[in-house]
Amino acid sequence: MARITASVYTSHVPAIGAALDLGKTDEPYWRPLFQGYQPSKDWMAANIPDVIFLVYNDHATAFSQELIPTFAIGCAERFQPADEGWGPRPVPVVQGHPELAR
Amino acid sequence: MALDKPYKDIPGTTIFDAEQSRLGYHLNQFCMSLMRADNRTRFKADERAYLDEWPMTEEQKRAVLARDLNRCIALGGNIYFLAKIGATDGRSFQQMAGSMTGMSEEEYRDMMVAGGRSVEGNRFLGEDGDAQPHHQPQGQGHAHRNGKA
Repeated sequence: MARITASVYTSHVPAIGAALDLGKTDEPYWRPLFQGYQPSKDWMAANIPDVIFLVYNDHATAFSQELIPTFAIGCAERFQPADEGWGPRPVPVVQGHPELAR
Repeated sequence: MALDKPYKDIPGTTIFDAEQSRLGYHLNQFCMSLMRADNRTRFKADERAYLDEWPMTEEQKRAVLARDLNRCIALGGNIYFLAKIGATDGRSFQQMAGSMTGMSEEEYRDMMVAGGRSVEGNRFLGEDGDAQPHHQPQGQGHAHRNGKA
């Protein structure tokens, strides 16, 4: 039987990733946001789950206007960082869990 | 019967509804193409020629060439898609959002750090807030561009 250990959330504008990559997290504009992440980061580092159910809305990244599913389940073994125009972000490849996803 | 759209009276905001989505289809699909590095290279080498590969309207193409994001949105563009033009230009989202108001990147950042735009006077058209059409564009970014500062 699986046990749900936590539910965590974040604001998710693409600019947050750009701010991280460009070293802007200490600028006045961004500092409050990144300071707010710290308690959650600390907690997650101490409470690592086996699997994460990651739910998000697609900011015109995986889907164009050609196909707009209300829900979609990511079944891939791994997911490459998206290139939203700045080039792919320097973050690790996301490991999928195809058995659970299917 | 035409749909009732009570959300048409929000100053400075165009709701991306089904009608806008249909209008902007090819504009937004063009933006999606900029997620590929080779397409960005081709676009930057000859913007007009690249745009002509897409069945966009002439108005949409001109709005993209002018980087007029407000016009792009009026013509059906959606900011999630249009952000890829800014990324292609190497511009931050702050710069893009600032450009839509006439504000410089610094003015826009300062407004956001101070809590963002006040809703007072900006709830619907006909009030007197700073987002109302008769107060737009605002800011030094606009004044500099037009030689007024």
